[in-house]
Amino acid sequence: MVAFPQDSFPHLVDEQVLSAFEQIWEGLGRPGTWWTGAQRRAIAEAARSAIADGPRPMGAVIPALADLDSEDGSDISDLVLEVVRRVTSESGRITAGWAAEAIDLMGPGRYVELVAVVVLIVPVDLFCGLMDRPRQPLPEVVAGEAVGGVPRGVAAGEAYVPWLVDGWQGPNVARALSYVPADNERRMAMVSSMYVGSEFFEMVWSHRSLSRPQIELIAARTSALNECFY
Amino acid sequence: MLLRESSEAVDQVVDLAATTGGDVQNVAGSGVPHDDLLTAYAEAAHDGPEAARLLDAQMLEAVGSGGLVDAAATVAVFNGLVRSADATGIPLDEYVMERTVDERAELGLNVFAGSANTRPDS
Repeated sequence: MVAFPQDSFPHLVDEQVLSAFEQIWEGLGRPGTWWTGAQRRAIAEAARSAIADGPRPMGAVIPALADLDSEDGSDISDLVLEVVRRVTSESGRITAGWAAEAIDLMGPGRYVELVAVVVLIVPVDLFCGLMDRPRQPLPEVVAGEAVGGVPRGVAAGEAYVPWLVDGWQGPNVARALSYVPADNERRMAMVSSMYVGSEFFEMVWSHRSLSRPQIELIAARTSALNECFY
Repeated sequence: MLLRESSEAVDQVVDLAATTGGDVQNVAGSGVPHDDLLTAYAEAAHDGPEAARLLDAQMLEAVGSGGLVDAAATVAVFNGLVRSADATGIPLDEYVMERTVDERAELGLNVFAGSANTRPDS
């Protein structure tokens, strides 16, 4: 069953965008590399709640990660909920020290896959909202265990998380989540369909209705509003 | 941060202050078309989709349905990209670093927490 049919949007949406959304929804409730399908869905639900709640006021008392329950059962722990909240609605406040503690407590695989689930669902939900389309219900959970496994060629580098290092030639953002290749592939398919296509180094774009300067203006303003340096 | 380069490629000159809340100043009418509206759309979307949709009529008149979809897609996908970058602590790419030293200083971007992930001497 198609989750994002064209006629569910009030405006014509590129087929590649719809295809990317379908891939994301197809994978969201399935066992991942480090989380089960139920846990991935729980992370997605927590991300939606974090978006609804918004960032906490500066100066608000925020629990120390080490003090939080970290036992993940069929659902997710308080630690994971807190990390989801920070990544989803307060990502501009993430520091190297905070990330190191989160990764130490959760493990790099679970941390990276959590980030992946958040950054897959946030753009889809936001795009649907901007298009005045109802948010898509989360997919049913597919039973099964997380498959595990560290991809070849991944190692510690200049980022907080391990990433592809050998012979990498693309932009850093494209390998940011290379620790979880399946989700990273879905993410980059979405990025390609919604932004850059295959023409990142071309300064004049013909594959969009807006010109590249118009798109870059929106992109830069969005990044600044989110206090993102990258 | 390829706004300046992509603008220069089509002979447009843009004041990058628009990206941090200032006004875009077009030179001799060669600025980014509909810059004020597009910036307002991005800002409204940051407050929530409902706020951005209040600009839909203006957007449709100015840039058409395809332009509105492009703007929405850009805002949406960058809300994923910024979280990816901040949560993983990736440094700026050399390609971008080399071209944005002055801009980053000019716009005050070096105060963002993520700036610590990029070499200070870049």
